[in-house]
Amino acid sequence: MSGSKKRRPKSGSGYRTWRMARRVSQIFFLLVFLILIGLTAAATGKALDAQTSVEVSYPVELFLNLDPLAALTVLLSTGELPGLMFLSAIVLISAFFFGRFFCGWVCPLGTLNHAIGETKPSIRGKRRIAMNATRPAQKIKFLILTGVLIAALFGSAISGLLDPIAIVTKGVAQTVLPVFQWIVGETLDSAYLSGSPALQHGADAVYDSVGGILLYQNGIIVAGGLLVTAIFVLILAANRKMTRLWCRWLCPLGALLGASGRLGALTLRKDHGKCVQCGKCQLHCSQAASPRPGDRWQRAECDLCMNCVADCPKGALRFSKSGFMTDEQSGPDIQRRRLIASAATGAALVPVLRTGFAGSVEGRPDPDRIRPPGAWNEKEFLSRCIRCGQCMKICPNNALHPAFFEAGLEGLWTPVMVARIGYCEPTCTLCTQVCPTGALREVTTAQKTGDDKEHTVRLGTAFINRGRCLPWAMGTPCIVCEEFCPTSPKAIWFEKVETNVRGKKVVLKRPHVDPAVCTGCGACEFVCPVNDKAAIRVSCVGESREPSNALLLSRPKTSRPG
Amino acid sequence: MHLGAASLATTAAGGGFVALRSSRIFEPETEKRARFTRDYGQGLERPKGVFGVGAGGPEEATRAAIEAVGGMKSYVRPGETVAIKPNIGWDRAPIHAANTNPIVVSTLVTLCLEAGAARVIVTDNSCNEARRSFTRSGIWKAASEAGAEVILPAPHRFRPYDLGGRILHRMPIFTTAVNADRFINVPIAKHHGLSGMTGAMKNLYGLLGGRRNRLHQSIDASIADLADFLRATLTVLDATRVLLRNGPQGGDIADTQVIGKVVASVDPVAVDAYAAGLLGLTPEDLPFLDLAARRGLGHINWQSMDVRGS
Repeated sequence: MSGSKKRRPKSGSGYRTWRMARRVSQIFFLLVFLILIGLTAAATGKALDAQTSVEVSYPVELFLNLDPLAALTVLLSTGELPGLMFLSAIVLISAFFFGRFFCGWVCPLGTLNHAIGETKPSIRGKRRIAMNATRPAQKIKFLILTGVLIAALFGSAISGLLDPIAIVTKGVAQTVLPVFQWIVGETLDSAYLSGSPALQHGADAVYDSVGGILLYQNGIIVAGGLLVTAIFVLILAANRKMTRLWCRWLCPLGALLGASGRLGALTLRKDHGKCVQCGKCQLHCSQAASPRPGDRWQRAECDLCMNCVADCPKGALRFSKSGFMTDEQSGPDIQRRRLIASAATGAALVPVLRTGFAGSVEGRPDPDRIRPPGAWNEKEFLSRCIRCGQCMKICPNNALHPAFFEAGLEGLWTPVMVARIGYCEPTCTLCTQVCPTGALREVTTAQKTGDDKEHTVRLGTAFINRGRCLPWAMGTPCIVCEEFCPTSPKAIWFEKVETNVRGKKVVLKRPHVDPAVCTGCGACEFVCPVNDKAAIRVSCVGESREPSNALLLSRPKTSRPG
Repeated sequence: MHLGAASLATTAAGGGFVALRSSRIFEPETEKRARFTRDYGQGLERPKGVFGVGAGGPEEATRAAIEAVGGMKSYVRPGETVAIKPNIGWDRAPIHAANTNPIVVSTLVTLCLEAGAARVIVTDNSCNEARRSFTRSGIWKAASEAGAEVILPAPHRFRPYDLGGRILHRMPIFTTAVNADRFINVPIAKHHGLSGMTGAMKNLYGLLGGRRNRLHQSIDASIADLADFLRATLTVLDATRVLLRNGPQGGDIADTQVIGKVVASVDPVAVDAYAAGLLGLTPEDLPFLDLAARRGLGHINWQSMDVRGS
């Protein structure tokens, strides 16, 4: 790239270096992002002492901490900026000067979109130039941004549903990794079945080296994960029709960064005299920002991908330092009418979602709305949870899943525990350690196990279905639930009864739940041998975070019954 | 292939021990096998009827108990692969006495290596999340440092075998553990809500995968079947700290009591009978003892054995 005689104005060679730098940056940040998702796992292993509490060793939620949309959402909905969310100021301030630089150079979803859209494209030549013309639909994202920010002001963090960092975190953790694990699992299985010692030892070696990071002991099933997958795949597939369609039309973070670029440190200068209207500048314009001389450059769209300036054969385009507010298009051009309409929609959305659905925050809770430990009460929780899925990724038991309607329409993709798939490990606090927005507050192990009697974290209460329970209904011994109950004393206790089963005398141990001790961890439901619909099930009543959903009048400070 | 065919023939003829001395971990043709009982004492001259008791701290007591039953050389021959199966069932620290004491395990690893073992494997199929249980039990670290390979219960390592029991038939078995040359069962003495007590024979649950939660419907017969299926080379009971209540998980240090004993014997029934005494139970409280004894797996009356040590 350095061999050109004149740096300017003849060719875009200097800009080709910048373009290469952008590509390197994209790959670098994508790799960092993927590695951090991989590291979103408990630190366990042979190096650790028995006494050390199991924690996360890396700042795995870094990309979410850098997300100004998430930060602004939580700031508007709660008035606070928890944890490391202040880091997002770096991205926001850089956007004041460089607009959507983050989209073009850093964002992992942007990079995936870009790569899928630009690799061996089927749309070429004039059709591709036309594809990259600025369209009115690109304004939709600003309306979405307005709507979700107003919704945040009304106390709902639903911006997270459309937050690209949350989407790509979820997309990888709940779509790519489960599929990967399934393939690895089947491969290891086949290696064992082959009977070949080399393959069998290879399978063991693979598991022992990467298993700790990438594989769950219990496999990955994501309840309702197909919807997450469908939308993730749809966003990615759309790039084949139009590169970065998501980024151009819909992304509220892109809108926020684009609209912030008022200070405009760089301006695209167009030399109309040199331009031959070949359209090459637009051929690879990643955000349809109208780089062609004669069109108005869209500062609020441009992500500084450097394609136009690198591709111009005549050197008619260059980026130069600019003062405040040049003659070029600075902010998004949106009709005030539309802006007000979207703001009103955002404002109306919260009350509509909360009054129009039985399982919403205002109504009686759905029994399956079992929140992870450390969750705020439902109202505060919904004002913080951006549905990034970090808690679900790190849960070692695969207990947490994206809600479908368990938490109302508003709670789509917020985390709920599905104890039949995995229970809440008694001493584990990992999900509370990785929540980027503090929707889950950090809790101690003693709070989880119930040893801290004053501040015990309870997710709900277990109920025995005596019609399905083996000792109660079938005269058959069991009480696996009692064995797995982790509290001390156990919340599940049994009475020994002598009974007749078809005339035969049988001694049985029949389980009972002590609601004052039960923490709702779901271990009993998980291990219940009634395999389809468990004979003991946890529901959210009695959860410690929500006084309005209490079960008992008071909680006796029992230390040990009997 | 050749080795596989040979062992098949052995099984068909004798229905007894199947030697898988090839480096193969899992033999895919098991469905044709009549029975899968494994006797890990085969080919050894083990002292008969001896019950070794060691006292003191975990290491001291373990060494004393093994010394009392003739030293590790009586149980492990040079070049062999030894599987050590502690209880790593729960996400609990050693102080809670829900898992085998890590120093008891690491001492056994050292003794096996000193006796010339080529490989020592330490493993279990945990009830709680495995990596967590392996870490927080302290066994992952202690055993690794002592030179053992600590093997995680990965799903692919479980393969269905016919246990040939009275009630246990086809179950997924932890292949890595059962394909060793020698098998040392290292339970901890604990209270258990359903079976009354968990010790040596119940500890073999950790070799099963799949839906083992159904075994509780007939727990005594299940325990006897397991003990019948897998005859350990040696059983070493950790009674350094014993969980008296709220078992098998515990969780409260107040539920535990320091006993400061480790016992060792070839006879798992005798070891369990001894453990029952520590928990204040009689053999009548534990029907699986009688079932196992009547199958010829051991003796309930451990006091009548050649008790050595203190």
